[in-house]
Amino acid sequence: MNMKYILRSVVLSAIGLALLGWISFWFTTLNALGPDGESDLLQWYFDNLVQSEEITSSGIPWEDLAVSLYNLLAQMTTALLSSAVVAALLWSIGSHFLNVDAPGKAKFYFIYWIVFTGIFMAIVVGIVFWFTKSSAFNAADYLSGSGVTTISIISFIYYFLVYYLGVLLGTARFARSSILFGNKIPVSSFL
Amino acid sequence: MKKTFIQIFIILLTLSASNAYSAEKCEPDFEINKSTLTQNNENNSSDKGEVFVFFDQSKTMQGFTIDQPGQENLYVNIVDDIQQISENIGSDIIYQNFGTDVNPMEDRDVSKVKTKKFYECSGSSVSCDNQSSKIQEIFKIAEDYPEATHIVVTHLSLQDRQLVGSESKQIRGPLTSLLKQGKSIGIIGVMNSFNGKIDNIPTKEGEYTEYLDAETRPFYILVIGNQDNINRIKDEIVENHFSSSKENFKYALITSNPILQNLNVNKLIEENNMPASLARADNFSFNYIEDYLPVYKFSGNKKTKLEFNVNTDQIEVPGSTGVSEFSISEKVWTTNKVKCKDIKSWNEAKFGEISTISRNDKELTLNLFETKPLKKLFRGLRYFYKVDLYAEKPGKSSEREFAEWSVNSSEIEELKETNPISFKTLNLEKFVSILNAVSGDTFKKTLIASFAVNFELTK
Amino acid sequence: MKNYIIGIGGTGAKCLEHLLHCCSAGLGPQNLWAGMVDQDEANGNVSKTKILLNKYTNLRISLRNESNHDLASKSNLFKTHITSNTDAVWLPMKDANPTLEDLIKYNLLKPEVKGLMDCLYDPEELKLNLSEGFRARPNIGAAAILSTTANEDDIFWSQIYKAIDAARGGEEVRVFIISSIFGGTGASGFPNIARRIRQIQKDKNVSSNFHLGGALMLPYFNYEVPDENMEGELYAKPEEFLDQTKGALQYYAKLFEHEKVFDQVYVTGWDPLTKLPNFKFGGNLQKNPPLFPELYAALGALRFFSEDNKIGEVQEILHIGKNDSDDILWSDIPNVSSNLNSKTNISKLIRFAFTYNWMYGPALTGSWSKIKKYQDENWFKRLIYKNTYNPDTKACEVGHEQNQEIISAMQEYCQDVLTWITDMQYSTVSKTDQKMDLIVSDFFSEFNEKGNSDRVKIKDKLNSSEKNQFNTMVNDNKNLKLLNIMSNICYQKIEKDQKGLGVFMDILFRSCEQ
Repeated sequence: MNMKYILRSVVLSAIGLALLGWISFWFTTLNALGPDGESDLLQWYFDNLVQSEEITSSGIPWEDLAVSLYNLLAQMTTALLSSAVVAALLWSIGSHFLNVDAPGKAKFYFIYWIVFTGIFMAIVVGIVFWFTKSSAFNAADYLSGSGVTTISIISFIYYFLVYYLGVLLGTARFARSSILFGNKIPVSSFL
Repeated sequence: MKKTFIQIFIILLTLSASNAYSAEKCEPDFEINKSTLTQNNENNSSDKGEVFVFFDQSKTMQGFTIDQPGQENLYVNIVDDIQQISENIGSDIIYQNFGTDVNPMEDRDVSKVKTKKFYECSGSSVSCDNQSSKIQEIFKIAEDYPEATHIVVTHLSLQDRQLVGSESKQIRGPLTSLLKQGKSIGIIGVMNSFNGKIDNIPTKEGEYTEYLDAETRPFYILVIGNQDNINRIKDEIVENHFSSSKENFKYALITSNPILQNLNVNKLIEENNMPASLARADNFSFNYIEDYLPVYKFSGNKKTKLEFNVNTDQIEVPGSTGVSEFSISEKVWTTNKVKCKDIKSWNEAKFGEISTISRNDKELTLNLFETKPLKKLFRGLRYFYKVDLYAEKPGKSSEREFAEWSVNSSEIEELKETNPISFKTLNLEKFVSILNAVSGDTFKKTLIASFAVNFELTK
Repeated sequence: MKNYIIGIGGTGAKCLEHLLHCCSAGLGPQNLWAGMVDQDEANGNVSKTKILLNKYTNLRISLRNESNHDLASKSNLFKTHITSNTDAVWLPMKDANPTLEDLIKYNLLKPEVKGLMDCLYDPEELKLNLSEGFRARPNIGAAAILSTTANEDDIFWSQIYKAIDAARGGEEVRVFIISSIFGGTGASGFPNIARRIRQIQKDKNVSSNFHLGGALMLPYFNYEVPDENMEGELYAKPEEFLDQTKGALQYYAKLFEHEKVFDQVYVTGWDPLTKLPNFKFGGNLQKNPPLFPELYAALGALRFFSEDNKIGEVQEILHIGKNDSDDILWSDIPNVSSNLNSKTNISKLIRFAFTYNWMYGPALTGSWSKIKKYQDENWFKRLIYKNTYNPDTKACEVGHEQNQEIISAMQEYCQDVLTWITDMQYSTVSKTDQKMDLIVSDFFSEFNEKGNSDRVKIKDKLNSSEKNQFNTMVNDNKNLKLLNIMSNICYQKIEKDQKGLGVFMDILFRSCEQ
């Protein structure tokens, strides 16, 4: 297999990932730095993600408790972004080895992509679940039911889009029909 | 030189140990509520004092002195016991009889109490029949002599008018005073053989009637004084006459303080007041702060079962009305540092109601974190949960105790018409409820036990 | 540089067939004029080469059209611009039933000249019908050719005259002739046409810029002659080939000693001789299979035309041969020049032919309603759709008739390539101890030894496992898989000037390179 084409895919995939992935990177950094007493993010977490009443009733200032939540979110988004990057790159590289060796064959590999994407989304769900529902992180206790739902939905949609853009740009040209709407994008013949 | 070095070394060692100890302080700063119960109890001295013995001389009491074939007659023996016990507990015994009035008795006349002659009435039949026993006079005397022990032997059938209005106040007033002074009233009931006339039975028409066919009827020994003497008298009577069966015996203790003791005072709270599984929890320890407050410390999980159990006989005075209502005062402090050496400050949490109380006959249980379950708490925090258990209201067990032997005025005529062999005491339950009400009014919220739970949740 | 190639006789025509395939693979020069000389007009091999030449030129015209479909100048596919006369074959004697007697006007000769003719030729030879060639009689052929080659007005020979004029004008001209040293037309034509060309050069006082080369095929095949119906017949007798060769070589040795006829002569043969099953007098039934030594001659010609080939003053005689073992390998195929690797280009052509014939050609064949199912695939979108889209009709016109003709013509040509290489591989070593496994062909073709025109039958369709054998098709190579081809055609850069179907054809061709 021509390494040049594979490298090209890797670069394009990285570009695709970066289109939306930078948001995750920025968000992770923000969380890794920890809470700032005046930040809107801290307040947003309090209003939307956590069990506000329980936290207030605990007597401990939210800013103190939020340190571990920030840490949780930083690690979770790191894991999610890493998974999206790895998945997109794996697919992009692996697409060069799909046996699309004749006209009309690419579309049959849609099943492969669906299965692969399904596995990736299951990993995303698993990661979110592990961070927010399991006993691995104490800060998960702070999250309310609606907060977990919010995190799950946002993560599911956002990291799917990050991954999708990565594979949309990075998939081998001849296998692009295996991606949903892969060959419908206007500049697909340049990618 | 060598000695100096050793001294310095010892000083340093002590300092570091104390530092280590002080660094490991793992509780918030708070005031420990200490019980005042012992002070009250200190008033219950067993020093001998005067004993006033009052024998109800009303004619109806005569029936207790005449044997009824087939029935056991303990009246005479018990009167003897009372004399004996009085001698034992009192330095000075003053015998008196009462009916419509209270009159002193000579010592030599005491023996006549066991005979029917003692109860004969020399007045007209109008004044002799339907004599009321002015028990309220005795309460007045008792109020006047609060340090003495007052023993009253009577049938205790009281008319409605004696239990309402001004006559009722004559019972309530002195009783309130006595209870406030830490005195108690013991009611010992004995179902005895009876061969005589039960009079003063009110009818629906407002008249009085009598009943002659009773073969058994209870009589009562009221003891007013400190609990020790009351219990002593009771125990003596039970030992002498009711050791094999208490079927014909009833006892109630009415006191302003049915609480036996505070469990902290003598460090009666132990590890096994909590479930045995708690002792197996990680990092479990149990010790007392300031030699008073027991603290259970552990690392648990959200499924840890926390229950504080205590036997009621450790708390309630035996035979007393007990406690009908408990309450707890709870406080929780939290910190986001789990390791004790890292804790710089604690924050007071606002959890509201956290635990609940349940009880059965033998045990009182505090279901810790039932209302605010552990699963709603956060891992990664350390919690310090302090509980003060209070008795809020005394119980009404004595009313239930005597209900069986009681009949009220609206039902007594009907009872008579059934020709019962065993006759009941008029308004006994009402009388006991008055006593309970007074004791309830004089009851002060009492701290029974305090403890704390210091824990972190790991999963 | 102007290049001219003349294939003389049946052998010459067969060598031209090889040369055409080599030119389509990009081994040839920028331009080339091709012609054939054969008295046997209907010769099967000559006809086959004529047809192939037409296919080549038509395809090239279709695919090197700047306004419609253009492979663009950088493409090596059909690189050589091959031209020829309308009728690429020159017949020395054009009459319906020509005889030598008629040619020399025997009846009008003076008696003494007649006598001379009687000494030189048998009566049968004088009366031999020459419409099916010179029947391995170079003496007849020589007379016929010598008497007719001087005609400048002849449409065939006018090309030679023009070539020499161009050389006088300063342009470099290279002329190459191929024939067998034995047989009829070839044996007689080779020295005489060469000498005739040199004479014209001398007559026109052209002393530079003009080079003449030749490939001389020594015996490389024989055949069995049937016993019946041969008595009295004049025909090429294989047992006489070696004697004839011996005689011819002595002649050439003497000739080259005294006269520099050729600048370069490529000599090749084969041992053991390939045994061909068919004997035919001539005509369209004489259709011998392509054989490996002919490829040598073709490559020799291409080497001669190569700009890297510096032709000196001294006449060069070059021998092309294979290794001593019985195995014929890719390494036995010489390169045309230092930057034209024969193996690379020929194997590229073979792969191109395979993939086009069974993978992409069928996908592009049919109406738009059939083809459009590929419209979302990258290769189609990038290479076909965009380049056959008509903005006026807002439709892709790949299904239109004119495009379909080109697609179909290419598929036919690809089948010719596969047939050629398969036939050459089987026929060369048939009934010998030699082994030629340049490619594996049994999975896509069937070989019938006894067939004439249908020795090789290419399968219409291949199943998946047969298609998967593509990656082992060309021996002695790190093989490309069909997946590599697909990957390459999706990624290869489209050259700036490429248009229409030329885009896809060239990219597919380039993608077949190792």
